[in-house]
Amino acid sequence: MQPKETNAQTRRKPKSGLFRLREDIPSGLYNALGFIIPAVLIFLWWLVTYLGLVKPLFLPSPVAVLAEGWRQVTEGILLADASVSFYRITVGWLAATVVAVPVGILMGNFQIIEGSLGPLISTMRYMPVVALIPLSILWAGIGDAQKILILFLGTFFQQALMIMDNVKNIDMNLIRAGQTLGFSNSEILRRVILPAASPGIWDTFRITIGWTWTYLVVAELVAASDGLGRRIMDAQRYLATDTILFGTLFIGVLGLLTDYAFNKSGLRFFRWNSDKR
Amino acid sequence: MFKKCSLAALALVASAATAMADEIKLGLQPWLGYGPLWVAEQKGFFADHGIEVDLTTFSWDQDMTAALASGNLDVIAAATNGVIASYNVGLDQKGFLIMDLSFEADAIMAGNDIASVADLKGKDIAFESGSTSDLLLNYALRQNGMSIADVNHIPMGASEAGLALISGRVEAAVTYEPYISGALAQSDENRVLFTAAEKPGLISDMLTSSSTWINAHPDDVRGLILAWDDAVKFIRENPDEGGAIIAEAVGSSMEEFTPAFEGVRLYTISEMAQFLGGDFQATIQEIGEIMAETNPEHIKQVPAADEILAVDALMSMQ
Repeated sequence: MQPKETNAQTRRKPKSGLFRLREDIPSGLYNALGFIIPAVLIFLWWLVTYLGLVKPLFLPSPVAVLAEGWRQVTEGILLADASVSFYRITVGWLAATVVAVPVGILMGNFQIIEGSLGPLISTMRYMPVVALIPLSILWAGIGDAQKILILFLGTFFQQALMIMDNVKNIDMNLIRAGQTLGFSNSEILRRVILPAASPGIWDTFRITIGWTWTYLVVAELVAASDGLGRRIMDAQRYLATDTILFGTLFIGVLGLLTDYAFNKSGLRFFRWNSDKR
Repeated sequence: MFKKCSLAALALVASAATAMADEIKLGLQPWLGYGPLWVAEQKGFFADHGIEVDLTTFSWDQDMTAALASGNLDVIAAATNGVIASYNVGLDQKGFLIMDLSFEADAIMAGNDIASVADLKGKDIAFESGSTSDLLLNYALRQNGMSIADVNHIPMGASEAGLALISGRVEAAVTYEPYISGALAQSDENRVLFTAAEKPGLISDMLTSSSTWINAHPDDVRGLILAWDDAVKFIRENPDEGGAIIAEAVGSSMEEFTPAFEGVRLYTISEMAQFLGGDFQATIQEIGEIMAETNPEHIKQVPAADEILAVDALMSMQ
């Protein structure tokens, strides 16, 4: 039996060491790939504009986009826009999170709450937030509260459902172990469910803050005299495609940084979970 | 047998393609001043003059301009100040037909405690950047020896501006119909302070296209101008039916629509020609100057009237 198994194993091993299922690849390569792919795309972009294959209005060159970015940096515009937008995103996302975490946890643990709130949240998840702008003005005015409300509406419903799933997906055996040990409901919640669901919830945070970023433009449509979203919308009016591209890419970069921050901190907080990844 | 069938099929497709090649892709927004276009579509005036027009509605004019630039639209309805902005981006866009002038349909509204434009100093005013409202406010301030720096600009869309005023969030708002009548109907604490009627032509709309398209499709240009003329005359002779078609197209009820529509003046061929022979060129110059003054970052050049107009066909038809 032994020689036969070895042969089968040898036959099944894939040729390339990089495509072994769920196996780690060298971290140097992993990081490099993350840079190489965008670099290739930027090169292709530059090549297309350099060869004049597309009208500059339609696709400004990377140089033009960077020049616009540099102009915004030197005129202090970028810092002002970025800080005010970052503030709005943070407060909006926190507002949604502070409500979504308890709601999601309760929904995940108690069917009665899931039954009551589930359908409502699932329906409201599909509401087009842009269409609610006039109502948001009537309810929350035109100041910060209105923008926070828009960001809240864009983030909360998805986040609550995702956190509910995070909580539901933990191993039932852990809960049973807690019950066997005689824990009360609240002890199980605090000492078993919360820690077990935390890595998933942290990942939900990482994903949902990305969605909050995408609502930035909508939030800054009303009474925002500065902000990254505002600047993109104003540039649209004049078809200033270099400004539009710079703004969109910059938001993407900021989103990437938040993503990275959540990923790295997640690995530190939940080191005990890393063998499962 | 197969060869015959495929040849026949090919001929059918080719003829269908040719039949569809004449279709003019026209982009517009739900603005009252563009009403005759929907009337022309419904009453068959386009077909009467041998053209086929496909009307597409857009929410934001920058999207239409982008579609024109990329060739996805042949003709778009544009405000005169929009064409000046396009000129500055190097876009080939010229007006071949003046559609409408806004009189009372673009206005500055304020609370009853504000008596005149001069009182707007230091106040919060809601309006949409770069829009006709922006232009109107700047003109009004200029006329009173003030500038935009004397007021507090709260940026938001035209539909939200009226709302912000009546809910007491801002002290004044600049917007256009139907948001003006809509806002005033909801509250008697606000009124109109200044309208575009004080400077006819300041807020005006043209049917525009690239000069390439205009030169390549003289019959289509003629057809559009004649169909427009028919539609305007029809609306004047049949205000109820014409009004109903336009109200439905812009999504208004007749009660909201009727007062709003009175603020717009539609032009026939002879009226356009008269206006072009008179003040319009000077007004275009003035619009360009105001835009350059208030938005030097994006508006660096003030075009002369004939750089954004292609009205030879129109003038030959009067």
